[in-house]
Amino acid sequence: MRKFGFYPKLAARSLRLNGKFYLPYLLSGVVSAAMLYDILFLNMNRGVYAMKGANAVQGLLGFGALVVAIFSFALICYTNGFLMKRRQKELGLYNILGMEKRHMARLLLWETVYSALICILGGILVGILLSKLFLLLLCLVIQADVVFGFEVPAEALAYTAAAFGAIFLLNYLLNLLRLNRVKPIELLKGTESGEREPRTKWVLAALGLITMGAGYFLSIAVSDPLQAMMLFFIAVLLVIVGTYCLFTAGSIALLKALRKNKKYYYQTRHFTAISGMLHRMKRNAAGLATICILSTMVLITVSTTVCLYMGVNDILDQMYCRDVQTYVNHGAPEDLPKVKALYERKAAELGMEMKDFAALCFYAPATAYANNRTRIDPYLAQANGSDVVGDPNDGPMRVYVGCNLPADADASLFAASVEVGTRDLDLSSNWCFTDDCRAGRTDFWASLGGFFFIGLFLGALFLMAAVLIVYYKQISEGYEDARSFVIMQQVGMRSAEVKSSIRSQISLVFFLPLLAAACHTAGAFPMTRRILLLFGLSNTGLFVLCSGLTLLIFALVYYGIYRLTAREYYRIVRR
Amino acid sequence: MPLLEVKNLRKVYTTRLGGTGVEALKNVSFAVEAGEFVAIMGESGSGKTTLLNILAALDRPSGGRVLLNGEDMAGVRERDLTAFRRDNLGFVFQDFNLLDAFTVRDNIFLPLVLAGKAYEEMDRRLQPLAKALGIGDLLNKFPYELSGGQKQRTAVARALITRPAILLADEPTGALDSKASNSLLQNFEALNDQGQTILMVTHSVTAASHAKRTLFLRDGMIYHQLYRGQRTREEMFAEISNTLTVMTAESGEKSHA
Ligand SMILES: Nc1ncnc2c1ncn2[C@@H]1O[C@H](COP(=O)(O)OP(=O)(O)OP(=O)(O)O)[C@@H](O)[C@H]1O
Ligand SMILES: [Mg+2]
Repeated sequence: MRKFGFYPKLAARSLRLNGKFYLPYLLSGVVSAAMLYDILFLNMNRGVYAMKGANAVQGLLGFGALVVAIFSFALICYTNGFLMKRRQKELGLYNILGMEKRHMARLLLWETVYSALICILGGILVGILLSKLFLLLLCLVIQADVVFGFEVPAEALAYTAAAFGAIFLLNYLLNLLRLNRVKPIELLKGTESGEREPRTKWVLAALGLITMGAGYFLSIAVSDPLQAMMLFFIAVLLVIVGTYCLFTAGSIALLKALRKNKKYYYQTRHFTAISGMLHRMKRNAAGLATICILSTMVLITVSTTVCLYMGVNDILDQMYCRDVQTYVNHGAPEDLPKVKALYERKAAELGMEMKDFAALCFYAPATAYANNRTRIDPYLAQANGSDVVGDPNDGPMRVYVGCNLPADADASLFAASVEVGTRDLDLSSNWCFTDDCRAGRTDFWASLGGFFFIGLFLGALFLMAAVLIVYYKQISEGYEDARSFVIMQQVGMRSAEVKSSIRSQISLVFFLPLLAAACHTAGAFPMTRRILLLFGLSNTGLFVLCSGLTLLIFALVYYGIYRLTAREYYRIVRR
Repeated sequence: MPLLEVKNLRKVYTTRLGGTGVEALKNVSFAVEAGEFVAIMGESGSGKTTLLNILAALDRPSGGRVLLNGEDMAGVRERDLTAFRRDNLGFVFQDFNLLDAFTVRDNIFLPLVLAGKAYEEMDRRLQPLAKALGIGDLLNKFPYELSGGQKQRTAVARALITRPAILLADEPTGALDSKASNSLLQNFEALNDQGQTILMVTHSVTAASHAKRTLFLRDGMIYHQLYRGQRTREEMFAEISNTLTVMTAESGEKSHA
């Protein structure tokens, strides 16, 4: 049966022939599959289960896995759509040469099978190779002991394979839909066919302005941290919608307005740039908006998580002032001697020596964050022998008792017996809690370390996606523009002019998303700062520094990508 | 002084591996007077495109000279070449080479915009040209909305808007059906009657029969030339066909010998 092997062979051949397009696609598929496997691996790893503070980390990893899966789906759909568009001409030719649509469906099926196999197997292989590294990184970041041994959880394998199998199946179905919709003549024309000039969509532009404005307004206006946390995702959604609308409608409106100005438009420099951008904006605005949003996501995720991680000591000093501590919120001065006596009794019972003993009543603002713990040292410094410090106008009275213990003493035992003891003390408030701060610190390191890890992990994923989209954009535009530039030279454009025109065109299109992303990050700043307060991080200077550094590093990476893809673009154009 | 003078033109394409190379033009000499309409015919591979590319300053000859208005094109510096070409030569290609991103009007304006002309001047030049070529109603359309003939007439307008000394056309009717070809050739004749010098490479006997003179190229040399003189187009058509038949027969004998 000759026919049986025909489509698999043809599919393999066309994958090879379109290597320039398929390679990045497959590579990003492999990388995202590897990332999914690794995050699942960490989530299911028995060593991680056994770690201190594992609960928080596990939850974060589970959330991360979900994000990676959904994101991989979006990414593969996007690139697949791009590839299909590029290949329409080839498929149209097959069609005219007598390949029916059901045969093409079979060809596409084999291509999908190959791509899926490469991505899943390659991804799992790379994932397994990298898993140990990620595990070490995670341990390092959450300051846990290194987990030894090597495992390959079957569940992680199965989930990864299932998720990517589903993604590719869905993509195949999408391709079939595409195939059914198009007529052969259109297939043959493919990307080359003249695209209708985009209309100016005023409604969309207005909608974009409104949603974007609303998002920024939320960020600036919401002052309560808890509310900020809840409204954050709404603001994000608004800004995403606004970005898409403004990039698609706003850019076209602007370019058309520029074209109306004949004096401006009919100048060598502006003439080709404006018409070229207008021509491709319809298709590319969405790509630019996507790049912008991905960049914003990278910037915000990385800057906040890095900031939290850098500020962790700050937060810990605030939350956990001593090894063991007791707060009575909304307490009264007569509670203080009771708790003090309890500490002394327990210390004697357990035979532990208390150090840096501190006991104080103080007035402080009630806060929703850091679980209402407040840095005690400044109040202690003011105490000057008296038991009550602060201004009643500042907020409710709190009673604080805390002490450090010798390094070999069991702080959790001490804290537990104090905790039990406070229940019989008949205090003036029920809101009394005792911390084992040593355990608290470890837990906190674990969860912030988890945040940090996930932040960097997802940041890397988003960055990869942005790179991929940028690459495809440049390549496809290069092929489109190559012909135009040949023609321009024929009708009298100097090659220096060609070069500068290309440069101005790409750099504008390239740096527009970066600029918008920086703008979004700045706009989100008030809101993210308030959310960080919830975690007890009040060091705005540190956050500004982290955001600035992240932006700087990101801009450098972005510039690197720009240089690389621009070179690829030149190569294509100057063929 | 003739408008264009070609003297002992030679072009050798050397292969990249340093082999013997192809001598696409061996020893071509001819002259074109202002106001002429010349067709160049010849078999595939006889060197027509090569000749046209050299005349267009898109390529440099290996030997011989090309004089435009008595000025040697070899003397034009490389960086002035683009401007020289833009100001003196107009081009029409077989596959139109219009830009999808521009409207018909902007496609036609392109060379003038590149030359830095003011909008009013461009518009002033466009009006009569568009009328003569019958594309006045199409100016706001995009190339993908046009038929082949309309595209080619747009390309002609783009070639002529710089008011070039010579219009060079490489198989301008190659991608057109006979009706569109005819109307384009009538446009050419009309433009020629107004004094436009035209040099056209073509495979089509019909197209050549519209010209005032036909040059025949074979194996990189001028084989023969025919003046139309007072003959009708039908007579000219028969004459050209005969010449081609003889020429093909001879080269057939030669390759068999
Ligand atoms: N860039 C090149 N490098 C090497 N050889 C070339 C090159 N361009 C043309 N030739 C050779 O020069 C000769 C003349 O080619 P040319 O394109 O001028 O022919 P033509 O008369 O235009 O043919 P056609 O009617 O098919 O267009 C041919 O033998 C061709 O193979
Ligand atoms: Mg040719």
